[in-house]
Amino acid sequence: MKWKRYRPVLAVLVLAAVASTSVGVTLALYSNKPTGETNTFVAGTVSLTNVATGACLASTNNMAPTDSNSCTLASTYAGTLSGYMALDVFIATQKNTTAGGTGATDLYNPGDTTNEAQITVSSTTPTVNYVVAGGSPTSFGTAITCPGAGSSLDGNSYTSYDKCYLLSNLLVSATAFSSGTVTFTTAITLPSTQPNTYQGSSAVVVLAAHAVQSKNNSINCAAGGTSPTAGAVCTPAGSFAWS
Amino acid sequence: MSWRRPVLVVTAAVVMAAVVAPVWAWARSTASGAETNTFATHVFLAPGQPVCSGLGIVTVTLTWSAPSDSAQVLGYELGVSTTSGGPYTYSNVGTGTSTNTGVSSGNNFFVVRSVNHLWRGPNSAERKVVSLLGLTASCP
Repeated sequence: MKWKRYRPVLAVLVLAAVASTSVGVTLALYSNKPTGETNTFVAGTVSLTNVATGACLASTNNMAPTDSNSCTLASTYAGTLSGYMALDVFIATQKNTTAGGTGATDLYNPGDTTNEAQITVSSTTPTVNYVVAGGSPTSFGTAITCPGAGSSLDGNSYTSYDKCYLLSNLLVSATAFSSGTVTFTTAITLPSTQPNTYQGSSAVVVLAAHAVQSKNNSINCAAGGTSPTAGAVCTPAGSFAWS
Repeated sequence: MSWRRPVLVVTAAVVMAAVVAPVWAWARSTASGAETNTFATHVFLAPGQPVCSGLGIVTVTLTWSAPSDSAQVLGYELGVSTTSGGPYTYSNVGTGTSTNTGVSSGNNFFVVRSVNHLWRGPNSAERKVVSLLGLTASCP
């Protein structure tokens, strides 16, 4: 067999065909000069549908001492992948110096756990208590800068409010959801001992549920590790991520 | 004689979609609409200005109209002062819209305000009652 120098470049074709067993995959032909490739991955989905229900779809005004009210939010999980669900809770509060006088106080006032508006957030299926005025099981902590329309949970501007608080990633369950509806209830009661300084004050409570797929994303929280407590803040740890 | 062998670099990144796809799904699925609940407390209105519905010896009956938010009102307080504009000394006069009260010699300035637990509404307009010689009252 005779070889000639500077023979035209050999052409080599390499075909790689790989089939996915669970999700359709198209692999491009890889060469030494890839000019472009089109890989199609059909991802699973994580879906949440939130429906606000209950008595306070509109504003709940004119509350007085001993009055109570509640609102519900139904979050339905319907993704093709199982996922963990969490709740973000935001409170904006303000006072009324005209009605409440010079010592007017915000309706949500963590410095006065006895007389402030008793605001709670809980859920059924699963039954979990998230936030209770007074800091049990989870405290809102210190106030944050009240967000504008572009950065708030619901897109509204709260820059005119006196104080704002935010709790992110309150874990609904350490067990991933494959389906089902979680009903969140926001409840408020004004104590009979509430002084006149609260008259005319107000608070906005915003709930936003979110979920993340659990496959290859096992739960791992800064508090509780791989066995975190439902209702507590789950700050991601290790390789776990909420987004 | 040298060969220049064509160099073939084949880079194959073969990743099973079953592994990759869920990772792509890490993008958090957020709520389609956050729920916004607004809770606001009541601001009480002032009752009507008291009127003298009866004059007696060192007493006067004062009557006032209930404010339009009377559904929130659990009772009333009557304030009295010897000086127009107060400060007033308040006393609970119950849930009705009239009361018979004593008067002091000279000028007496009365106001009424709503009560709900520890909350108090604004004062009504003032009513002046004058007691002559500490015996009879007039409502000029």
